[in-house]
Amino acid sequence: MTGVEAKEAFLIYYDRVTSFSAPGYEDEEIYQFLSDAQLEFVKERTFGLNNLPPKFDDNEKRVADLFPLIETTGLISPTANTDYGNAWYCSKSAGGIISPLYTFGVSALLKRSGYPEIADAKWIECERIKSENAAKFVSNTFNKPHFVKPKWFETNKNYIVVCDAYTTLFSGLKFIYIKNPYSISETSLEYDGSYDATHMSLHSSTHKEIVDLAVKSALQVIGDPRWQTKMQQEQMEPDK
Amino acid sequence: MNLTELEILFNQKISEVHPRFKEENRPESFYIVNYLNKAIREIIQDRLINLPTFEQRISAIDIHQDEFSELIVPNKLLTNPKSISNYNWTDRGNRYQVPSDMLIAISLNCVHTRIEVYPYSEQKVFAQFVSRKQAERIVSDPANKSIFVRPIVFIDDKYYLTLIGDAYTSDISTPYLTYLKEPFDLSHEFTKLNSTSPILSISGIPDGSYFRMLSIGEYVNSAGSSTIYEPGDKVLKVSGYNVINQVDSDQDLEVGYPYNYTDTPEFPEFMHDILLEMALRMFLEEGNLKLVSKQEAQ
Repeated sequence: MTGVEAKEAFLIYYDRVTSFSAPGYEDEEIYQFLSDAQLEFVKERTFGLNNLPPKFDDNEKRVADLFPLIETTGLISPTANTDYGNAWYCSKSAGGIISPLYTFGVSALLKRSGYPEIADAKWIECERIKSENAAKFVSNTFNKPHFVKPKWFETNKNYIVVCDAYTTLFSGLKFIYIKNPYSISETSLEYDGSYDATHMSLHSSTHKEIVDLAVKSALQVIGDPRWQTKMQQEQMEPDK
Repeated sequence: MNLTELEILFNQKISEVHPRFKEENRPESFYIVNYLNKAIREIIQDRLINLPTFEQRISAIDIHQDEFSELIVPNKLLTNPKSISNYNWTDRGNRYQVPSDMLIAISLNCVHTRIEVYPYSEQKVFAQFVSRKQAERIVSDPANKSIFVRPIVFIDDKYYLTLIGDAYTSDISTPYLTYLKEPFDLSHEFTKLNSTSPILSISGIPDGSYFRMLSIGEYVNSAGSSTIYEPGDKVLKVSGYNVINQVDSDQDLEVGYPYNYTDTPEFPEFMHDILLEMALRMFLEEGNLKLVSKQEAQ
């Protein structure tokens, strides 16, 4: 499906649901609905509907749906961050990271002096923590924490990785994340595997669901009672 | 297990009790170390201190010999005698300063000279610990010339003990005390320096602070004179002297600082699990209360 085909599908479905009785939308508005629906689709596939399971990697279909947006970086050199003790950070706009939307995997290349000792740098998978809990893991006068897997969290601009007091060298980071899909527009061409502004970012098999979500949003905006009915029906259906 | 290993186990066990302790309520090292130190004191308190009499404490030390052997300091020469000539005891007794880290005195021997019943000269004998009240009955005065063959000793105050002989004692000196010492506090601040070469650099230790010898080695005393120190000795870091020399080629040089700390509990390995369990129990008793109050707040 191209951008134009998505818009036409939106109109057909919207008109059929409202029996031509609802106000029409401008093309720009429809593309906005479609782009928003695409983001909603990615969010739901990543975290589950209403943040409930199944989420992203609980289900192979979800992984397959988002496959075009999943990106794994190569080695990225971090910068020391003394604000969090033995910690390093990496900008979200660092070379090798392309427009990250949701990050779900971070690995660090590090050495340890003990518990256990890692003399030759090895890749260790990091664990995500809430940023407000980061202080619990910071090495300082009062805290000499031990945890083999470094902890990471993100701010609006950076990824921050906090290591324990026994980590001696931290020389690289790798990320697995979901890229931000490009907006759907009039010029969007059929998905062909490339990630750029001139092509749809997700596979064709997902487009119908994105159009459905866009129509649902459009109905919600005009306060159409059929939207409520449809929502109730969907809640009774098993999750996709 | 050293402190880090204990801390790892502590964190692991509390995380199994409740996942909140893994991240949100994760205790800082400072608190874990405090709980471990508190547990050490509790163990000593329970098994040795909370006993009503000196005899019972000594008996408890004997019973728990295996558990507290690392805390026993044998034959420490007591110094700084303080004359008690104001009393009628004259040269039959002295007050001696007790070691600042003494928890329970176990035994004391001294060089003793007696006249008459039964006379001997400069014999090394064990003194008998008595209470102050018992000492009052034993000590001779002009109206009571008591016979008590062994010297007696009692704790005067937290700084001194008194060592005295009976009416026939003519000299008493050179007391060596064996005692149970206070354990060093566990701390991540404690740092070990070691070397396999004949020289160990200690330039990282601040001048004027004390460090602990963990092997036999040669350093200087406070006056700058070369001195041989043994494991456990308290040594002053003297400005300008930054090297310890090897004395025994079979022993690698090792020191630790600051003196008052350690990174391994001074209990045998089999006691470490008991110590950890006790620290966990104390922590969780308080941890549970925290969780309840959080739920109420929600």
